[in-house]
Amino acid sequence: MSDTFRTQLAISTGRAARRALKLIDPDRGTNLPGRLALGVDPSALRAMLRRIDGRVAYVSGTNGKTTTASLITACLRGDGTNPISNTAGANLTTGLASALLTAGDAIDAALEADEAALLKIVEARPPEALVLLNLSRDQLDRYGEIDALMTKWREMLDGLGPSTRLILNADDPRVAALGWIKSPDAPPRTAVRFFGLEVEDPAPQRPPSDASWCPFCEEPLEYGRTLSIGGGDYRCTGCGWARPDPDYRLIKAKSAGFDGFELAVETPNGMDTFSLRLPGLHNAANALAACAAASELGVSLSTVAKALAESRTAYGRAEPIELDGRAVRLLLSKNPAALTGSLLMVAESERLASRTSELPPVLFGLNDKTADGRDVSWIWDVDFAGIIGAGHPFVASGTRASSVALRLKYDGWPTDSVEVEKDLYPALRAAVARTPRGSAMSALLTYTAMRELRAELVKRQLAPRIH
Amino acid sequence: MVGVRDSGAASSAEVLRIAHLFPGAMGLYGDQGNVLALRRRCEWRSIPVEVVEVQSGDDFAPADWDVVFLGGGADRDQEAVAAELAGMRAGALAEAVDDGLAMLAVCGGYQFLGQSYRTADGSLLDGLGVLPVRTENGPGRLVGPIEVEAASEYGGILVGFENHGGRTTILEGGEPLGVVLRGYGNNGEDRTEGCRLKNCFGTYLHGPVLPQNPGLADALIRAALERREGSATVELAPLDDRLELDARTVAANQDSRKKSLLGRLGLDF
Ligand SMILES: [Zn+2]
Repeated sequence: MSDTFRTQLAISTGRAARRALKLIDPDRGTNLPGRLALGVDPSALRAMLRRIDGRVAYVSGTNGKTTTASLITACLRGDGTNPISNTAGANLTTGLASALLTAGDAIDAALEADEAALLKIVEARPPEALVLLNLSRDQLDRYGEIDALMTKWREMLDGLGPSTRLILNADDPRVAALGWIKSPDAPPRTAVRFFGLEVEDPAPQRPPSDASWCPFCEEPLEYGRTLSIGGGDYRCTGCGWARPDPDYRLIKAKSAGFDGFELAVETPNGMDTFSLRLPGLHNAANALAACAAASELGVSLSTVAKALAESRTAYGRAEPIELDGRAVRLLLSKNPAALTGSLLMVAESERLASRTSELPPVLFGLNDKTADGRDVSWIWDVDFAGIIGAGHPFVASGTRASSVALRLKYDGWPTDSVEVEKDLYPALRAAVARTPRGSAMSALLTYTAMRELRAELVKRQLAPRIH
Repeated sequence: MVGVRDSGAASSAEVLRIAHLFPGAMGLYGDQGNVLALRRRCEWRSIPVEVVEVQSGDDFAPADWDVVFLGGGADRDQEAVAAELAGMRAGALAEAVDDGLAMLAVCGGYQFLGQSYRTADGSLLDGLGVLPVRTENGPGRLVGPIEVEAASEYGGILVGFENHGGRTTILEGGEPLGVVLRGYGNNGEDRTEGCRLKNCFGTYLHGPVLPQNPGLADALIRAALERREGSATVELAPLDDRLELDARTVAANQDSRKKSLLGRLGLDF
């Protein structure tokens, strides 16, 4: 190890900042130490990544990065190591650097990376497993930016050696297409493993609005089975390219609402069943991706199944909190795909619950700060009425609470059935007050709304700090 | 998605017929909310209304419709429908607009309605020639909240969110939808936003524009009814628009420059 003096200074500066921040507020310190370290020496990230001489997995995509990376971390831990992770959603280079500053003698790592940050860390240190989950419209991915990103990812993959296993989502045509070098006439890249869902999705089926064109010949894709979380079973009407057969398949997903699933997976190393304590079909897909990554890193299937079964919710993802004798679920819902997924979970759990009293309200906190995306028009792409039914008790909150109420009005909600309360904590109290004792309610939140509400709950000692 | 052209109500002259062009490919950023706004505001007034999604490959005769909506799409999707749009008897669309057809086109759809579009690599693409505007790709994107002062018959102040790389210039014969109070508008230079020709409106405003600017939504409905009934003035029943105007006020107050002290120092952790 021959770090320059500047790199050593960068790392010690970052570590000192981290210790200092921990004293002020244990919730802080996910980005600033890394920012300071990279300010001293921009190459410090590269140096820190290159120190990891064990197994490294990177996870990227629009949705599910945090959960998938934390599930891979759990598998590696189950395999007897103490991997580095950045599982607080700090997935830009500064967050990655902050996480790496804590690395003592860790030899493995499972890191989630923002779609653009991924290019940098792959270049700095190619991983042993690279998981690409999905590409859907996010606040940034508009007007062809997904296509531009695809091109960059493709170039990145072309530059990788055979020691990196690519773990690609067969159900998302844009991600699956990355498995081929130029055209689908030749076989896929040798280092590719596909994962895919082969279960019937009980949720409302709508044809995918994005991912409708063939990534190779740009003719329309024809869908057979579609998934509520995006993608499905497709075939190109032009060149005939079709969804690849997955190496890792989810063949059973029996939902228990917010309590998760009974899952069965079929892998090249055999079949296993386990219960996953994370709700939502998107989390079943994340678990399958983690299973594929961990297996390809050499973790045995029984260890994977045990680790996945024992995993609990990652920060801010369906995290359960108790308030006045009611369970409150905080669900990060930052883009159309994630919000649709959250609403589907609510609908599914209400369908499973045998209900005698009134439905608990759904709270949606919509902020329009920079980290959320300033443009909130994406809420019009979500089929609120189709999923939970027009008139479902609702509390609209966040800086754009009135835009939520307006969206619901045009989706058929009588105006007086939506309570509008801009401030998140009072809105949550109002929603809890309308929730029958012993029942659970859901708070769907954009990124900064989640951060603000959680901070408020921690301050009032109603939620635990995240360390 | 399948077209619903065979709906039984389609033949009734009483029904206000809205064509939503290429909702799949040209359906980015909640702009389908515009069609929903038109539909609901008719339903709330007991005006029979029917929305038909016109898909790639469908036969589309502009003169058959009361209102036509065209949104914007991702570059690739727009390219895919460009040829089809061009082959769609653009002349017929221009004629229908000249005859008073109520039409709204947003962002990419607005650019398509113009004379031409010059791409980043310099090539010149033909537009449909319906609106007297031309667009050139410019450096960087014009992104942020926008506020426009329009004529009172369109509700006065219009608010929305813009995000476009194209710079649009209004040519002779066209008039802007309004004057930019905040934001960029057509090109970030001449303070114009959008273009109007008779009852055809092109705009860069997302949000979507119609639900939070009900005056513009009603202007389209009114124009469609007046054209169909051959009447100079149609009075629309008033609606309770408090929620719409609340949302508009909040959107108008969305500060494009506000940043925390930590944020300005680059320490927004
Ligand atoms: Zn093809």
